[in-house]
Amino acid sequence: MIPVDFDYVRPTDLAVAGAILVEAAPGAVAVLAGGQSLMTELKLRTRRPQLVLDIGGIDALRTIEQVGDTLRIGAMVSQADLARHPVVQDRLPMLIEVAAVAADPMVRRRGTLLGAICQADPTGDWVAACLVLDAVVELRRGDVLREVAMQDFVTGARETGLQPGEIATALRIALPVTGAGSAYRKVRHTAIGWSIAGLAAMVEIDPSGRCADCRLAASGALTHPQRLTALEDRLRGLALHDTPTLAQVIGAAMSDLVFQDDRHASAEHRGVRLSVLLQRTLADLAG
Amino acid sequence: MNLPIKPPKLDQAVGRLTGQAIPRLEDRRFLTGRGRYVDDIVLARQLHAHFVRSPHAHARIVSLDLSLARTAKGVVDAFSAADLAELGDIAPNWVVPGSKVKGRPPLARAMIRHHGEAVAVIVAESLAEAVDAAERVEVVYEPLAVLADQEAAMAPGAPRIHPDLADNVATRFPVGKGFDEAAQGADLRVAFKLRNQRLVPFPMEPRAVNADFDDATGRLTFYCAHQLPHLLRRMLAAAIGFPEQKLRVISPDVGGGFGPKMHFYPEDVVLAVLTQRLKRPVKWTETRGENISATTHGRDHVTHIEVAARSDGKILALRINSLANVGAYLSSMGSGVPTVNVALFVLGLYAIGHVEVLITNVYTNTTPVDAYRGAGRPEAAYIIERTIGRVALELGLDAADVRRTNFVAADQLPYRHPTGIGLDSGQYEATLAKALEQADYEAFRAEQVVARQEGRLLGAGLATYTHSCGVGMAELMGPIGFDRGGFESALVRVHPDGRVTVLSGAHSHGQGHATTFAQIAADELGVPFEHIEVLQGDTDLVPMGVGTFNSRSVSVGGSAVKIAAARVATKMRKLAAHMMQADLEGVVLEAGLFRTTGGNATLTIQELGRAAWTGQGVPRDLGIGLEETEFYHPHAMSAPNGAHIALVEVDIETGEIALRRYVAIEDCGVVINPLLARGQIQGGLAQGIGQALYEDAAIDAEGMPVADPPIPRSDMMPWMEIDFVCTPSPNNPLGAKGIGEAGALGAPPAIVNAALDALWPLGVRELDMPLTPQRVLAAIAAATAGRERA
Ligand SMILES: Cc1cc2nc3c(=O)[nH]c(=O)nc-3n(C[C@H](O)[C@H](O)[C@H](O)COP(=O)(O)OP(=O)(O)OC[C@H]3O[C@@H](n4cnc5c(N)ncnc54)[C@H](O)[C@@H]3O)c2cc1C
Repeated sequence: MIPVDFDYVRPTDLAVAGAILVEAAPGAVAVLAGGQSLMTELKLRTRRPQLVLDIGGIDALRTIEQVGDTLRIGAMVSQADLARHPVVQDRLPMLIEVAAVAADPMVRRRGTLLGAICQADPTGDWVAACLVLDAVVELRRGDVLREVAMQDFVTGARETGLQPGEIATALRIALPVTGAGSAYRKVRHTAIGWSIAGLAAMVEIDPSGRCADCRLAASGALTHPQRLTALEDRLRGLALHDTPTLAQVIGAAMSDLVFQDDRHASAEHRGVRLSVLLQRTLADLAG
Repeated sequence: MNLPIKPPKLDQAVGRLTGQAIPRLEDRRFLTGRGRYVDDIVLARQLHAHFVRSPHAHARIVSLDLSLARTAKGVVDAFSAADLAELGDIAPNWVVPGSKVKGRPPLARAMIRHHGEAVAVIVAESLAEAVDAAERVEVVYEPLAVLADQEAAMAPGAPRIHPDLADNVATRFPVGKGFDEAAQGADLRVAFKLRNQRLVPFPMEPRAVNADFDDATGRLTFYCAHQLPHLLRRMLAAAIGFPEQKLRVISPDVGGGFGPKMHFYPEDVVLAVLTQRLKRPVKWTETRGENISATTHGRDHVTHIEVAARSDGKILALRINSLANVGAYLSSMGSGVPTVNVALFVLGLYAIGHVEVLITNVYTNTTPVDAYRGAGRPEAAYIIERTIGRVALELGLDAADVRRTNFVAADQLPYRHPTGIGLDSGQYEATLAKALEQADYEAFRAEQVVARQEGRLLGAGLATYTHSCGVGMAELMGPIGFDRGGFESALVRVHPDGRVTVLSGAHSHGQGHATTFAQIAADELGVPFEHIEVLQGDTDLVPMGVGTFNSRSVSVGGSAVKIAAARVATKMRKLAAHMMQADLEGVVLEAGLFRTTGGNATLTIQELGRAAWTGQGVPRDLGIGLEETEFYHPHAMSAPNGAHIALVEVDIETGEIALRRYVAIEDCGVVINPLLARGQIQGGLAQGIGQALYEDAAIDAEGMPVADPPIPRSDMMPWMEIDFVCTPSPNNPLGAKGIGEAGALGAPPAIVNAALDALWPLGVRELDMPLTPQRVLAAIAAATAGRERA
């Protein structure tokens, strides 16, 4: 549980950090945000960087700002600070629900939202929520900026669109219009509380009780956090109170998905748990 | 096991402090992060050891090259088995007669027999350097087929873990006979199979050793997180051929033990040898990874049960055939825990006339299994309580009634089971009744009926338990091959200033002896509680003792304190009577001041203490000082017992089991400190609930234990409804029985019985722990498929 030797820098200027990354050989530098994933990998020696670049000293990355109907969350904003922010409390209740079930207070105190997104863990709760919130990741390589939608950013289990030399600087979330109901629900496995099936859901119900629109994403159950777009399509226009039909539609959608299979739960069990989670959550959101 | 031993007369007087829920004296230190554990001890010229361990569970070592590691930065030296050729295998401390003993090698020689077995050790100036150098060790393994499961290891033609043995059997332990005859004419005969899964113990503080040889004095100080400092000294001295009086074991604060920290390990002997070779202190602190594969595991039985009963639930006979996985080697108590500690206890609190048990210890390619909270008795409780539960369900009887029908009756106490185990005292019916009332059992049963009609699955699970605590009598330990004393030591010293030191051979690893033993001594001595300091865990300081296990510390260690303190108190009164020229009977000590009942003379304890320790004015026949030592050797053990009830709801869609309520009523005899007793029950319940619902070493086909065993956390625990009944034990001067293991015994059967009670109507007949949602759903599906086929 002791990392290999590495050098450590903690610049205070984003440009300096960016320059270090651009100049480094791919894989030689590890960006350190809250360290809640990286430190474990270092201690287990599964990551052996030559340099750890701590971005915790860059104050510019610590801000949360509302620009019109968009919330912009800096890379060093901790999950705990995020959940306490008034705009989040007001307009993004799903993130509060995530904060209640993802990890523990100590991890959330240090862990950042962007770190969790860049980690793209198959069981990442924050990733699933940000997929449903249609968030956008802001990236920077040297002076070059670009942005990528969450759906395109998370490409697989622990795989992202982060290019060599790039740093994620912020995440932008368009604040949802009022009227949509949202929820984050999770079935934990008992070892360390990660999800074996997690569900982020946003649903708009029309006056007749039908689903006008919805966005769904799963964590833990599938190979990596993903939107359940096929199911979303089938749910539009459906009366969510119609339990048998709902169950049927969900069941049909499950058969197209590839579930994780490991010691914590079989693929079959994950399928069952995600289905039940969908049924119960959608029924709740239907009111 | 039936010996004519006379119990001593019980002193019923309960003092002022005994029975009070006094917060622990040691908590301030612990809660402010100032506990001092082995890893906190950093000695001058400290070296650090790191073990190189096998990634295979079964393999031949083809070659091992330490030369690159030896030249790595900071490395002092590196050692393999060849470099420590003088060391033999680690001898177990309990060898059940007839066992084929294969002890753990200090470092693997040619063969690897379990995952994580150490093949080399690197010693460096810093731990980081030792870990870096380990990557330069070149080991070539030839992996062999892995036998991790005891049933597979017993299959005909199975490869042998130790090729010089005829098969993989370590011990065969048969007890009793006559099942077939007694079972004739029974209304019900059922056979079923249980698995008591393997668990990985997880003390907060892992094992840790700092071995410090002083070349000038020839003394070796061995700091070790351990439960039995004196026994460790004896075992270590014998293993390395070291004079025992020059070997000092210091066990400072110990962060939990649960059994594994009373065993004797390869790392212990290796470090003791290395410090002598290198003439510098060498430290090793276990990582969690090492904890998982190098520290002993617990449980792991596969048990076949046959039971014969009358239609009223009266059990006529029981037959048990269990395969116990003892791992690759016999650890310290590895042959005794799965045999003696299971077989003799399978009758619980029930008067069952005929029992036939065969337990077979089986070698496999797994980490050695040894005592873990309850040490065999949880397995026994699980067997009998699941059996009673099964009989009740099969016969459609109430689980409480079947227990009442079978209880040893009040007028049968003290009672001796056909297996030889004694029950000293208890109120089994009243204890169960109290649990039923607390759980609103009748109301729950009514609710259960209604819920079933609504398609909801509620279940009530009952379990009683008992075991023997306060080991024990040398006369019994010898014949079963248990090579340790059953006594405990205490030294009580009243200093010239009236303050008191209590030295105890027991050793707290979280139990709070500093508080409870002070309560016991304060009551005897009549001095303020805060003036008493209890010291343990240093073999140079404490009179020869045994240590803490088997919930024995209060009943044996506490009794020693009580007796020694009482002798000092008597001497104090005699001296006070002399000094105040009063009658002995008229002398009382209260809050540090002696008075006479007749006159108004007073004497401070300081005046008395000074006299006693100078001898001035003291009659010669009273002798010098105020100090007594007691080696208390019990005449009999006690049988704590209790009744537990779990009320659960099973979610038929998800398989989740919600523990709605958990009730535990305990009879541990006289309770010295209810706050600490409750803490022990809660901790035990957490482990028992963990075993029932979550935990499993889950060794895979390659012999790898799970990397992140699901140990329960506080947010996974229900509110625990705990209460006591008190039947003082007649077998020790305190009337205490033992409480440390209660929860681990009661919870697994109570919860599994509850789940089966809920699922029985669906056709589910058996469920193995842990009751994961996936398993529950699979059982429901299998039962449904079975019903549809029928
Ligand atoms: C005990 C425990 C339990 C946990 N349970 C959960 C849980 O239940 N649910 C859940 O979703 N998560 C859980 N986590 C994971 C945790 O939420 C995230 O992994 C963690 O917070 C990631 O954020 P961080 O700031 O700590 O990232 P770090 O560990 O510092 O970094 C993570 C990775 O992302 C990279 N990175 C970080 N920030 C940037 C950036 N701005 N630009 C480019 N690369 C970057 C790092 O190089 C690294 O590879 C748990 C973690 C622990 C330790």
